[in-house]
Amino acid sequence: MVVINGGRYIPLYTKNQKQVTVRSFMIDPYPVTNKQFLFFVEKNPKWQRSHRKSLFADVNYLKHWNGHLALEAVIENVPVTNVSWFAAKAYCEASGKRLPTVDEWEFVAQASGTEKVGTKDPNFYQYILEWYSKPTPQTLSPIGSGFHNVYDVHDLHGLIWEWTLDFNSALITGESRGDTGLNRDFFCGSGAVGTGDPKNYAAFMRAAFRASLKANYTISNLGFRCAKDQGTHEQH
Amino acid sequence: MNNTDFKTILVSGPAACGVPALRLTRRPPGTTSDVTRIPPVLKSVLFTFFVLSLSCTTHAPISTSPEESNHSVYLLESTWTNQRGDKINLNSFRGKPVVLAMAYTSCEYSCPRIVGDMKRIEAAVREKNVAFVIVSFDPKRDTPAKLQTYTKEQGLDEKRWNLLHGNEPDIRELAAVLGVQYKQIDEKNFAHSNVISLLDAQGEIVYQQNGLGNDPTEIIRAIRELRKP
Repeated sequence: MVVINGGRYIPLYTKNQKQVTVRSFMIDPYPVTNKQFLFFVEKNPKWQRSHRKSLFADVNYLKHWNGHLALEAVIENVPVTNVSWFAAKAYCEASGKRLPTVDEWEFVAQASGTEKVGTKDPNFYQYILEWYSKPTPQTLSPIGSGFHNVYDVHDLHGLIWEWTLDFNSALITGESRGDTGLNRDFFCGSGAVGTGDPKNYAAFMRAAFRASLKANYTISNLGFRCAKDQGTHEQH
Repeated sequence: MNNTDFKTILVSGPAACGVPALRLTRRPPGTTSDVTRIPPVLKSVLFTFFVLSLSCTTHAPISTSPEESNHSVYLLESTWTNQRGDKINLNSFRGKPVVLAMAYTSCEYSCPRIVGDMKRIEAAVREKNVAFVIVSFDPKRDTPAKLQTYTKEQGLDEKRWNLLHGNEPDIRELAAVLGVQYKQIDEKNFAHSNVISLLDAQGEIVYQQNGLGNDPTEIIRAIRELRKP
């Protein structure tokens, strides 16, 4: 895992450029692959496709595999997708890790190839936005083929979307508009204009995407990687 | 037949008889099927039957009893503490309708209103056998003792009401299951969506009321439906 020294950043959801502190943590340098996930379900039958419970994963769970314990060699090193939040969370917990929080994920993901805070780099933004504008290919590329940032963390951009531990913390959906005044503060600022960094359209897209998810959804371009607190011992 | 076709069919095909609609997708890629040249509409009808026949006759359901629901909130294994300090599992509400919401008691604006909405439902539902459950977002402040105080302040009937304290990961997980969005925004406050869920005897979500101060007619009707023998 890669150690990420904590710091302050301006998340999308704060007003007036208010910074949030992110504590130091560790994160996987690559997304979890099909092969790694296969190893996990072999050891944890509860998460095999044949034992699927609708509460925890929808009907497309691991649908790109050949069988509940079989996959084509060509996708072994491709990030696992078609996994629900519950499955992703269980995978990380099985190795003493957890999913990264939205803040942690965004904190690492703002790093460009040369700067820890790449938000001022137009080329970096262009890369992300160009990727967002492309349709997901039928077969995803292997890990390592996405964006390589200054922390040596790979594929946060350019390959798949990723689950976060508190994906259900973004109060920007239509349903939540009628709720608290705080949500209105977030949502009704005319989208990205009212948010921390008006230029950060990419982060706004990610927030909107997260807000549209439910925990049992499985999507063909949504995978995950694990994180953990710094200092906790890794189990095997 | 490509993936999109499978998706459409699997989604439209009933998820009856437990799990195994997915068995269809185990067909190795590239395998042609004998319905390839049939028009799409007919194809999906045929495949629906095919899925049904596979799942209902060829393969026994994985779940242990017909009562066991694949969608049940009671599949969660988390443990909670109520306002009396009793350790409980959500499964202990099995067998009766449950009106369930998430809130926190130090909240000044929306939480008293969500409790108010639940009380309105309670007032309209005379049957004693309906449970009312509030799960706190705030493990730090909403200790069982604090929840007990709140129960008294609100005049909640402890035979029907349970206010639950749990740990952060379990709260996050339950919120995910209920489709509740929340975030701690400062030391004392949580931003959250307001959802009142109705669970049936097996723990499946059968109705959700979103937002505050809504007309409770529909959820009350849904509870009465459940109470029918």
